[in-house]
Amino acid sequence: MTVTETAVQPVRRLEWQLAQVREIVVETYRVKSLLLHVANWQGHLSGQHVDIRLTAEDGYQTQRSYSIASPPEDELLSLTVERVDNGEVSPYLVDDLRIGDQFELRGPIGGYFVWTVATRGPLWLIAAGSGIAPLMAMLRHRARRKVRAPALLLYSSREVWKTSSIERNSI
Amino acid sequence: MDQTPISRGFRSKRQEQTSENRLPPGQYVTTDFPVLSAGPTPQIKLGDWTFALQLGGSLLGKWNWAEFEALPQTTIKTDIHCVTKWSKLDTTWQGVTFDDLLQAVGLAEPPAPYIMAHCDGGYSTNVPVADLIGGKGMIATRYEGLPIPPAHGGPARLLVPHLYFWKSAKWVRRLRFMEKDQRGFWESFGYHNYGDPWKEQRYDGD
Repeated sequence: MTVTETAVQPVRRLEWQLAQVREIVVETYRVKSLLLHVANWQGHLSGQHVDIRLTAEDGYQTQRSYSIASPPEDELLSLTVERVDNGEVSPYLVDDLRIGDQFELRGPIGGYFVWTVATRGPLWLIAAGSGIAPLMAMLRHRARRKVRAPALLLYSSREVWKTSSIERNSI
Repeated sequence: MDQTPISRGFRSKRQEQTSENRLPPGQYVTTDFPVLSAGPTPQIKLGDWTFALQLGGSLLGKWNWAEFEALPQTTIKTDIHCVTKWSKLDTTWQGVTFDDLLQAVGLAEPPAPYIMAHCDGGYSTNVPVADLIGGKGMIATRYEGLPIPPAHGGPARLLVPHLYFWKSAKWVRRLRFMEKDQRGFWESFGYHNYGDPWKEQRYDGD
């Protein structure tokens, strides 16, 4: 881990944007991928995440962070969300959210845990459960760009993923 | 944003009776102690551990573990706030305050206005000296009365609890005074240069 220390320069704030649910993919009985349309999405790198903010009818707001599972090449932004029992936000996202619903989001955030084809391979990815989301962004990026760099994914899950999206994207 | 969309059917499940002035905006209380780090957890033997205070390239002071343990010890109880949104209340830490470190090397005043903290594994973070003096910052070596586990930054981590917790660098080995502010690790990847949780300074420009 190395970083070049850089001088301090203020930059523009990451503003909250509207995200609209365009498609919902059932991954397992407790995991769904939400495919979102964000009007002025500035693009992202595989491995980055977003903050989302939900507002209840009584004005209560809360925020959570979710990894982006879609590659930069895709038009819709995908968040893969696992329902955490007794959780506050994930049961709403997995069970209640419908196509057409909107919520606020800002990002992309994080620039360290990322992979682009320019970085080249080989890729060795290890994840468990919903931790696979940012790695899916990397594998999908690799697939979209038809990069032949070797990639190995070691993945552990308590459930079978219905769509086999992992298989389809790992070519 | 022009309009804030209401999420139908979404409501608060907060059970904690946390007073408003205790929890910064956008944070929630956890009773767990989540572990987040950018790389592997260093495993360092206490016999190999040293801690140094530097001004630019010159050494102001250096301690081995036994020497560091012999410095005046301070215990504080404080809330901590991670930029990933969790806050943990009433955590107890013991260690050596930044003020006592200055005194140990015979400095009445800090020699420069900024600090870069350097850690095992290559992590770094920048903090203004004003946020460390007056009991605001310490090098912590105990958590809840016990040695800090490696996953939580042991044997020693910087503790600056009034800033987001990435500033409280795990596995700290060196504090370097700087004349000019520079960005550390996460500060170079889009996170806020200062990180005040009460102003919700999570990312650059906040």
